[in-house]
This record gives sequence, structure tokens and C-alpha cells, in this order.
Amino acid sequence: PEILNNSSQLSSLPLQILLYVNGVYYIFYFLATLTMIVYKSQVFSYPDDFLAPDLLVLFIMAILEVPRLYLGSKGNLTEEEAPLGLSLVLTLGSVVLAVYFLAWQTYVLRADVILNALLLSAYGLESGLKVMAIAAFVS
Amino acid sequence: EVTVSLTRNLQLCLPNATDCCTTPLCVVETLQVLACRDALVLAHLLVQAEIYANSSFTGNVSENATVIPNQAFKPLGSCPCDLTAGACDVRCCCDLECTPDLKQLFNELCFTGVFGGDVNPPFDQLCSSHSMEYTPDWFRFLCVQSSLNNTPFLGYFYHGSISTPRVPSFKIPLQTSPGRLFTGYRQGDPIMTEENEYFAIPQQSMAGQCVGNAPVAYLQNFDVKCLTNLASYKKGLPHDVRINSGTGDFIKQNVIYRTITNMDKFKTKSESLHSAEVWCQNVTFAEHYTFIWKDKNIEQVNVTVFLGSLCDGEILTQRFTVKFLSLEITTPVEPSGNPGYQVGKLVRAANMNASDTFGSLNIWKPAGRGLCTSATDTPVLFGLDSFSGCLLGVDINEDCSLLRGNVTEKLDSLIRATHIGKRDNSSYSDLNDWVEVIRLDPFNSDTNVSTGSLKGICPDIPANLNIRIIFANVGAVQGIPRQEILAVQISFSTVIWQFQCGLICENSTSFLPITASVQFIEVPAQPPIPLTRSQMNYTEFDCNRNDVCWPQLLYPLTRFYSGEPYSQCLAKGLSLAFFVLLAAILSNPWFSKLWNSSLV
Repeated sequence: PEILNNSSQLSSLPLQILLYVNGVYYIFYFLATLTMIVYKSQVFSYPDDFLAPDLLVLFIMAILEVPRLYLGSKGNLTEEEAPLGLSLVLTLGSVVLAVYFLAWQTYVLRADVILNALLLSAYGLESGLKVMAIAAFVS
Repeated sequence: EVTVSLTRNLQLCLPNATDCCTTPLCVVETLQVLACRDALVLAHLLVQAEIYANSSFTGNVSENATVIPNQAFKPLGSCPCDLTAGACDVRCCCDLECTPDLKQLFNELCFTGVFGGDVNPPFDQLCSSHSMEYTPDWFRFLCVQSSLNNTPFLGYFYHGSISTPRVPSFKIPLQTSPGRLFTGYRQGDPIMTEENEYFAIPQQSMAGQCVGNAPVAYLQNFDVKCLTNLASYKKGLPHDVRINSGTGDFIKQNVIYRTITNMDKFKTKSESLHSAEVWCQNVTFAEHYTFIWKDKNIEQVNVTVFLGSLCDGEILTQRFTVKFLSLEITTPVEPSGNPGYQVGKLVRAANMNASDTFGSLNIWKPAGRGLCTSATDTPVLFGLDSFSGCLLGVDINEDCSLLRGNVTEKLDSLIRATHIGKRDNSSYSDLNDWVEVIRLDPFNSDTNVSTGSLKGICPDIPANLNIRIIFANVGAVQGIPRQEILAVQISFSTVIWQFQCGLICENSTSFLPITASVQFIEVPAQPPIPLTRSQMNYTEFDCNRNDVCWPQLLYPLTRFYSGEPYSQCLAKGLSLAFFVLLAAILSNPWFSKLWNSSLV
């Protein structure tokens, strides 16, 4: 039987917790943003069919999120750098899309600002932890 | 009046003399006039004069058209007070041609609002707008945080579509008669003659005067009176013109000429002329057209023309009537949209014993002298109590039983139905839609009442027919109460007929009136439910007399709630229940096991 003590376990527990929480939070974020886009489309007028890009970005973000979380979790648990690195790259893409929702959307509501700010802070923290984990795995 | 004069030299606009002549030479002078009273400034006036040296324009005239920005993003005319091009408009702070020094002069006096350039005022849903007195609860989260460049009102009226202007064609439409294949007339179509021209009868135009060549529209009756005198009299279409019947063949008009004897009804003398040399002419006083039509064709045209003579100086009132009659003489009453009966509509009757189940319930409609031989029937209309009859001629030697049979047969001819429809839309196939007619036949006098020996008197003649129709209010359709017939009873009342002699009892006929009466009786459908004693004494569940209103505990879901439609309440309640269920499922350990296995 192998004794696992802290020094020989390289997987980052905070990163795993954060990935789990991020998954749950993202589901809520997706539903809330979708509902708000529907609300905005009814209350405000969108010029020149600007509604389509907003919806498209939301769905792209959702599609990006699933492999991102999966690769991050897998890389962290199997202590491999490659999936973790790929997850980091995908995180950068998600950050750009979150910034789109925060600042470049057609109409930004205050709820949008709050949700995206939380998401961005989660991404930032995650990226930091991933970098530390990669450093731990590589060395 | 105040006169101000300057005593020193004018100053150059640009104090630096080396800038000479690249910019147009000018001098500027600014003056401020203050009106004070007791050291208090009441008003001030700024006068600035920029005087340029007279020079010819040496610049290029720009050939570029102003680029109009996309209306969806930038409103056209972002600075409505910028009226003069190339110069600064006073008090217009958004004018780009104004230098900052100039703007400082009228800084506090800028135009406000949209005219002053505020074409994008903050709208209500902006987070920074505090002008609304009423901010809903969700406002804190759902207010718009983005910049004012993106307002919902930008480009609201601009869709970017281009509409090509239609060049008006100044052609007068030719009066070409429609050379189409004749498939029949529809209502409103003009009636055509053999030569493919409009069949015209003088009618009243919109302005009020009569026009001579107005076409006659199919199925449009009219009755016009036109004034004319001898000078303006115009002969109408000749009466031998044949009319297109709608199927392609042509029908002749059946004309009847009559002369008017009593001309004073139509003519009035306008001037009194010496009766010696009076020019008179034979003119038409009135024309009555009757078009007999069937479906889309005209079957027959009957014309009655009244002729008379019109003399000079008289004004004639011509009368033209057109009537469209259909071949069926009866006036059908069309069924109503309300499934229940409505007052005035036909009572539906059916004869289940006949092969075509067609039945009718009629009452007498006498004509002429009121005799039964010339009387017709008219159908019974719902809700209208009626009483009608006719006179039957009876001989003094009439046999009583024969008379009874005759009268009964005549009255039976009115009731040609065994069932009456409960509703207006009762269908013939469903027997539940019909109520059976309850017949109380007259007391059958087969028992040979022995008054047959007396002549001129007959007892027990069932001469009065009573139709009693019982109906009730069974609800409402769109607020209009719906009535249904519950039962129909037909009974006979007997009379004693006695021959009415005059001074001498001659061998003539006497008249027996036979009558039919319809009576509509309304019964209440549901009597009001009487309150029980417990309901009167026990106030626990009565919201009106109790402080605590127990039935409304589940307030949004009960029927008492009148804020939103019940369906919305139910939807919200169900979604709430769904979320509670979802939370219960998600917190189940089985579900967390499933979730963990998927995450690894």
C-alpha cells in the first residue's frame, strides 16, 4: 500500500474545488444571460440584427466551457501538463468572451456586469492556480 | 435709446502681426453692456463684432456630398441648431464651427434639449437616470449600464429600406367597357347591355344632383327623385335595349306604358305664363324597374313607365325605382351566429316522420280581405308573441263534424313539424337537439254529440290553436344571453260556432274566425340556491364577515385572485413547484454520485 502524503501529491486541491464551483456557476450564468438577452430583445430594440452576434457568442462560450473544465479537471487529477495547458489556452478564449459580455455587448445591464465580473474573477483565479499547478507538475 | 461709441482704434483679431494674410484679415471688438439699478445687475448684453476685410472667395466649392451616418447608430442631425454653415451659430454649443473663446461668451445661455444638440437624452432604463419617481424593484439589477451611444431609440424609425417613388401616370383612365367573359353578376357589378355598355338609369350622385348616365349595380335597390324641366330634360336609354343576363344571352325588357292622369303630384308650375303659346312635350314621369334575379343571373326585367306631358315653365319631379327580386317569394330569415335563439329569428322545426326531415311551424299571414282561402303562412319567430287568424266561410247547412274536420285540417297545415330545435344550430342528425312537440289534440267528438240536429250552431269547434313555447336562459355567449327552447305544446281551444243572421236569416255564408296564437314563456333555468342555516350563522369561512379569510390562504392560486389571469398564476405556481422538485432531486445523494462519476 502506498502512503500518499501531501508532498508527493502534486494535484492542486484549490484548483479542483474552483473547477467544480465554476461548473455549477457557469450553468447558472448561462441560463441567466440567456434570459436577460431574451428580456432585452423584448424591451429594447436591436439595430440591424445585432441580436444574433450576442446569442452566438453566448453559445460559443458554452461550447468552449465544457472541454475547458473537463481538460482542466483531468489534467489536474492525472498530474499532466498537456491537458492543463490546453485548458489554460481555452480559459484565455473564455476571458475574451466574458469581456465581450461585460463591455462590448449591445446593452449591458447591471446584472450582466455583476455576473461577468464574478466569472472573470473566477477565470483569473483559475488561471493563476493552473499556472502554479503546471509549474508543480513540470518540476 | 442708448448710443454707444468707441473712441480708440480697432484691434486686430489675431494680435500676432506675423500671422498676417494666411488667415483673412479681420478686426474684433467685444462690448458688454450692463443694466444696473442700485448696484444690482438686472441684465447684461454681449456684443461682439468681427469685421473681415473684403476679399473674394478663393476656396474650392466642395463637391462632396455630406456623408449621412447610419441612422441606426447615429441620429441624423446631431446638432439641430447648427444652421449656418461655415460660421458659428450663436447660443449653439454643439456647433463645431464655434471656437472655445466664442463658446465662452454664451456659455450659460446655450439652447437646451434636442434643439441644442441633446439628441440622445438619457432614457428611463439607464442606471444613471434618477428622474423616474417610480423605479421598480428589479431596477437595481436590470438597469442598462452601457454607454449612451447605444440607446434603444437610436434609429427607431429607420429601417434602411428604400422605397422607389411611383411616377404618377397622368393618363386619364379610358372608359373601356370590361370585355371580360361573362360569368355572371356579383353584387355591385354594373349591369351591361347588349352593346357592352353600362345600363344607365338616372341616379343621385354624391353631390346630390341627378346624373343621367349612372350605371345600375346588381342587387342594389334604389329609389330616386330627380328634378328636371323641359330645357334640361334628357331622354334616357331606349326601352328596346337588351340587357345581358349574366350568362351571355340577352333579355328584352318587358315594358308597360301608362299615362299619368293626376299630374299635379309630379309637376309644379314655376312661372305663370300666358297659356297661349306653351310648348309641351311627352316625357317620362316615372320608371319602375323590377329585376328578377337568381344566383348570378338576371331572369327577367319588368319596367313600368309612366308618361305625361311637360310644358314649358314647369318643374317635374321624376321618380326612378329599381328593385331586385328573387324568384323565391318567401322572405327567408337567416340563422344567427349565436347558437342559442335570438329574438326575431326563425324557430327551427323538423318533421322526423318525413323523408327529408324538413318541417315548419307557421301562423297565419292573412292578405286581402282576411279570408282563409287567400291567406298564406309566415314562420314563427322566436320571442315574438303573436296572434293571427283568418276568416273561414261557413255555410248555414254545414255539417258540424265536417266543419270540425275542416278547421282541424286547416290548423294542422300550420304545424308541419314533429320536433322543434332546442337551439338555432340544432343539427338534423342529432336527436338530442330537438324537443318533441306535445300535442293536445282536441276532444275527439266521435262520440256523436247529438246537437247535429240543430242547424246553424256547432259546439266544440277547435278554432283556436295555441302554441306555447317554453324557453330558458342557459348561459351567455360573449355576454349575449343564450336562450334554448325547453318544450313546445300545441293545444286547441274550442268555440261554439253560431251562424250569424242578419235581419233575415238568408242562405249565405257566415264567417268563422280561426286563430293561431304563439306564446313564449320564460322559465328560470336555475333558481337561486337558498342559504342554509349554517351558512347564515357560521361565519368562520365567510370572508366578508370574518377577519381571517381562510379560503384565501393560498392566495395566488385560488380563484379569488384577480390581479393576473388565472393561467399566469398557475404557470408561476407550477414553475415554482418545478424548481422545488429540482432542488430536491439535486440534493439527493444518488444524483451527487452521478455527478461525480461524470466529472472524473
